[in-house]
Amino acid sequence: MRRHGGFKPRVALPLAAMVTTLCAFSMLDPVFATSGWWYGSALAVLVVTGIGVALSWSRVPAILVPLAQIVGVACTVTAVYAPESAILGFLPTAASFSALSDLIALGFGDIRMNISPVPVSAGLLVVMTASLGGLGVLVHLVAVQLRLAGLAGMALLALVFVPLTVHHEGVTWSAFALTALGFLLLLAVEGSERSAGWGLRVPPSAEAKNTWASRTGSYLRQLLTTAHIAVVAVVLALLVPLAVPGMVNDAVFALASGARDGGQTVTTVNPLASLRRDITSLGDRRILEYRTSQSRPDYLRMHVLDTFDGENWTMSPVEASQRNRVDDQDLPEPDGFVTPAPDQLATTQVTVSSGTQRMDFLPLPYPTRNLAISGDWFTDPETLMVFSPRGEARGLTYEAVSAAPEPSSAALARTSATGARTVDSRYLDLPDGVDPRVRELAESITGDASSTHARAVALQNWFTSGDRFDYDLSPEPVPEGADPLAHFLFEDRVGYCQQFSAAMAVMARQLGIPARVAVGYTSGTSVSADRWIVTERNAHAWPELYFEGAGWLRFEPTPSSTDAQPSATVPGYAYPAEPDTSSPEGPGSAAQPEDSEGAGTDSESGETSAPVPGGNLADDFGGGTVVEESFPWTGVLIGIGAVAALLLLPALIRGAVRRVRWGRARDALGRSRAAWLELRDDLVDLGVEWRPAESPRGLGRRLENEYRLGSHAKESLRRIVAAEEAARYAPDPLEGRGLGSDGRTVRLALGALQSTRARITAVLLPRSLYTSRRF
Amino acid sequence: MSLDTRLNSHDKGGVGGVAGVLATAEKVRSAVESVIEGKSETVRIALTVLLAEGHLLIEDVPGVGKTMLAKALGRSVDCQVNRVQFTPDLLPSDITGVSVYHQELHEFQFQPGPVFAHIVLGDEINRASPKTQSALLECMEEGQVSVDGVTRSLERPFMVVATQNPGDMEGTYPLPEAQRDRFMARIAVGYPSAQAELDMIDSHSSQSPLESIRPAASTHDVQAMIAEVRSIHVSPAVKRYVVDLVAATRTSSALRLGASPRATLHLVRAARAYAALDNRGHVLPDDVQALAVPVLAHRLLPSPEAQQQQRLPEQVVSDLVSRLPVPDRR
Repeated sequence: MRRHGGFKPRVALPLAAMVTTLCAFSMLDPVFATSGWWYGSALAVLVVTGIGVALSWSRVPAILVPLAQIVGVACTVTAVYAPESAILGFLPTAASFSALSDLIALGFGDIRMNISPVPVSAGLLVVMTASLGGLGVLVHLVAVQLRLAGLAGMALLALVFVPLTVHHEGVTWSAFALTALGFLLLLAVEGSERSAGWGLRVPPSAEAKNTWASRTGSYLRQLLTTAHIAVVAVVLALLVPLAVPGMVNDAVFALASGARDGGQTVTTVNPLASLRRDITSLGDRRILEYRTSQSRPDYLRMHVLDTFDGENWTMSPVEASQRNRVDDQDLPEPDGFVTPAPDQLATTQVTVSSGTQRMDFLPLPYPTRNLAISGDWFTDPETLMVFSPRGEARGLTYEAVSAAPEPSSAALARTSATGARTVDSRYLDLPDGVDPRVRELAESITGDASSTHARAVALQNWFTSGDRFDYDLSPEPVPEGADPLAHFLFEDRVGYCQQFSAAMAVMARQLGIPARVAVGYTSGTSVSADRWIVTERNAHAWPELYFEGAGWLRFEPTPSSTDAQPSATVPGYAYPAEPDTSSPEGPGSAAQPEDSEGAGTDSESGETSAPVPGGNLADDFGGGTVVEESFPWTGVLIGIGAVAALLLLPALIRGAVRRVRWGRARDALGRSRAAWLELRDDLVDLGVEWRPAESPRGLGRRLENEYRLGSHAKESLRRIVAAEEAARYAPDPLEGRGLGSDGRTVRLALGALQSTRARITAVLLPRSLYTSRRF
Repeated sequence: MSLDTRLNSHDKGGVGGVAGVLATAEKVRSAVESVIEGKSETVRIALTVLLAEGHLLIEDVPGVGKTMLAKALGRSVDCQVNRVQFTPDLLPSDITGVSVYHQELHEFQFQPGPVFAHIVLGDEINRASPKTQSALLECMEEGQVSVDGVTRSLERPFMVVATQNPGDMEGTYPLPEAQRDRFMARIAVGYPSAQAELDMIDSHSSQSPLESIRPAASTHDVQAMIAEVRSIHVSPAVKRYVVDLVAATRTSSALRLGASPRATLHLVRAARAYAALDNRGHVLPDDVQALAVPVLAHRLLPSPEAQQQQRLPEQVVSDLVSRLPVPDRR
C-alpha cells in the first residue's frame, strides 16, 4: 500500500454499502402498515458493516468475513427478539433458536395470511431483520469484498420486487429515488477509489492538497460526475421503452405501473363464462338462500362489466387494499348514490351453499350499504362489488343492508340527459370498431323519445316486446369473422341474457347514457314469506344504466317467459313515464317501438342489401366530426414550424453561446479567452479530437500537421494560439485584435477539410453543447 | 520549428536579454553539432543543463559519442575542461586534490584535483568505488571542495558531465537513487541515423573534428547567460503544472519511488533554460513536457508490477505527461 492507501478506502466503501442498503429499506416501507419495522433491520446492517470494517483491519482471511457477519446477524436477531433465553443477552442458545424459529414460523404465516400493507408482528420482524441483515451481508460481500459495486444493484433490485409484487401501489417514486441515490453513492465512492489507484487525481491546488476540504471537494466532484451520467442513464431508461413499441406492455412496466395487473389484483374466471356454465347447468344446484324483509327482493349482483372491447364486456381489475377492506363501517357511496330514507333500507341475510363452485365475489343487492361478514373481504368503491383475493364464500352466511331505490318513472323522466355528469366518462367509452348500423338502429328505436329515461325504456322494450328475438341458451355460433353484436342484432336474433344485456348496454352508451353490464342472480324463488332460494338457473346478466340524480338502475331487456328466464322481472321504473308520453304505455305498448324498429330494420336492410367493401370503414370515419372540417393547414404548418425550430435549437444555442462569449470579452485577456474557447468548441463540433493534456502550442502544431490548412488559416490559428498562450503563461498578454475573424477563418478552413456530414452535424448538433463547458 | 519562432516573435518584455542568450547559445550549439551530427535535441538538452547550472548524466552503450559530446561542449565554451576516467582504484583525493608538503616553503600546498575546472567529464562514473563517487557528488551539490578542513569554492560555471554504461557490467557500482537525483538530467545519445553515420565517416577520416572547434563563448558569456535564464518568467499556472506532474509520479501505481522536491526545482530551472534557448521570456507547459523525461525519469524506480510489464520509468513519465491536463489560466 502506498501512503495514499491506509485508512480511508477501507471505511468509505463499507459505509457507502451500508448507506445504500439502508436507503433501499425505504422501498419496503409501503408494504407495512405501521412504521418502526426497520429499527431491528438497520441494527443488523450496522452490525454487519461494523464486523466487515473491523475484520478488514485484522488479517482474517476474507472468506471468514461473511461468515462472521452472518453470525453477527444471528446475534442481533437474538439480542433484539429473544434476549431472555440467550447468554449475555445476545449469544443464541438452543432455547433461543427454538423461540426464534417459532417466531419465524409465525412470521411466514403472517406473510401468507395478510395482504399488504401488513401489520407488523413480532414474527414478521424476525423474518425481516434476518433477511435484511442477510441482504446487508450480500451487499457487503459483493460491493466491498469483491469490489463489484455495480453488481450490488442486483441485490437491491431483488428488494424492489417485493413491493412490486405484493403491494398494490408498487414502489413510490421517493423511495425509488432514495434507493437510486444510495446506489449512486456506492458507485461514486467505488469509482473514486478505483481512480485513485490510477495515480492521476491531482488535487485542485498544491497547498490544499491533503486537507479534508479538498478531499470532500474531490468526492463531491466525483459525485457530480456520477450524477451527470446517472441522470442521463435513468432518463434514457425511462424514455427509450416508451419510444420502442411493444416494450411498454412489458411485464416489468405492467408491474411498475401501480401493479394493477399483478399483486393483489383479484383474478376470476370470466363472469360471463361462469354465467353460461351456471345457466345451462343440468343439475340446477342451489347456490344460496336468503331471508329478506322485502316482498319483492331485487337481483343479487356479483360482477360489474364496465368495458366493452368490441366483442365482449369485461371487468376492469379490482384491487384488494387495506383501505378497501370491508369492516363495520358503511361501504363507500357509489356514483349518484341517493341517501335512502330509513324505511327504504332492507336487510338481506344470505347463506351460500357449501356445494357451490368457488365464489370470490359475493352476490349482493345493489346498492349495499353495510355488510356483516367474517374474513378478508374488500369492496370496489366505484361498483360496490365485494370480493376476496383468496375468496371463499362457500358455506358463508352474511348480512347485507341495502337501499332499495324505487324512483318513479315520472321522476326519472325529468332527469336531464345533459349537464355535468357525476359518473366516470369511461362508462360511455366504446371501441372504434362497433358496427355503425348499431348506432342507427339505436337512434331509430328511440327516435322520438324526449328524455333519457324514455330512450332507455324504449330500448328495453324493443328487445322484449313481440317475437323479435328468440331466447335460446345455446345459440348458433357466430360465423367466423362476424361481429357478434351485429350478428345478434341484425342476423340471428337468438340469444340469452348475456347477448340481450350486452346489446342494450352498448346501444345505451351510443345514445349517451352511461351503461354497464351486471352479472349475478335474479331474485330466485320464494319458498316462504321471507325465504328465497337461488339456484344455478337463476344466473343472469342485465344492463345497468346511470341516471343523474338516481344513480345506477337496472333494466331488463331479456324476454321474460317460462322457457326463458322465468325469474327475471322488469323493475317498476322501467316503464314509460305517464305524463310524458302520449302513446299507450305498459308492457303491451309495443306499437311505438315496433314502428321505430321497423324503420330501423328497413334502413338497415337497405344498407346491407348493397354491401360495399370497406363501406363500413368509411362510415366509421364519416361518423366522426372530422370530415366536416377543412384540412387543418395552420396546424400542420405550426407543427412543421415547431419541428424545424426544435431541429434548429442546438444550432441556435451554439450561436448564442458564441455571442455571449464574445460579448463578455472586454480586454485582451477576455478576447484571447473567447477565441480559444470558441476554437475548442469548433473543434469538438467538427469531431476533431481535443486533448486536455495538450498545450495550446501543441494543439496548433497538431492541427497544422494533420490538416492541410491554407496559409491564411495557419496565420489565424497561430494568432489564436499565441494569444491564449501569452494570456496563460506570459507576464503580459497580447493585444488580441481581430481574433474573432481569425476564429471564423480557422473554423471555415477546418470545416472545408471535413466531410459534408461532419459539417452538417457540427452546425445542427454541435457536440460542444453536451461536453462539459466553461464560459 | 517555424510555428515556434513565429509565436516567439510576438514576445515582448526582456526580449533583448533573451535574444542575447539565444544568439550566444546558437553559436555554441552549432559548434557542438559540428561534432555530434544529427543529435540536435540531445545537444539542446546538454546546453539547457549548462545554462540551468545542473549536471548531466549521459547513459548509453559504448562508442556512441558520450565523451565526444562532453568534450565538444567544453571546447565550444572557452573554459577549462578536465576529464577523469573513473576506475575502481580511483581515490577521492584523485578527484578533489591533495595537500602536498612543499620542501622549500616548509608548508603544505594544495594541489587541486581535476574537479577544479568549469566542465568536469567523469567517464564511466559507475566504475569507481562508492566512496569516490560520493566525493564527486559532494562537489556537484555544494559547488565547493573541502580538503584538510579548508573549503575551496569551485569556479562558475561548474558542470559535471558523467557518462555511464547501462546494463549489468562486471565490476561496476551503479549510482544509487540518491546520487542519481543530483543530476539534473539524464540523456541517451543513441545511435546516429544512417546519413549522420555516413557524414561521420567523412568528417572523422582526416582529423578529429574536435580539433577544429573554436570556442564560441567565454566563461563570462556563459555566466551572463545563466543570469539571464534566472530571470525567465514562470507563471503560477506552469508552477502548478510542474508540481502536479511531480506529484503524479509519487501517486502513480507504476512507480515505487516518485520524484523528489529537488526534481521539482530542477525541472523548473531546466524549463527556464529551455525557454531561453527557444528565445522566449516565459516558460510554457511545452518546455516542461519536453524536459519531463530527461529530468524526471532517472530518479524514478518502477513498481514490481511495472517491471513485470517491462514498463520503463521513461514510458511511465511520458504516459503521465500525455494524460495530465495542461494548466489553464485559473
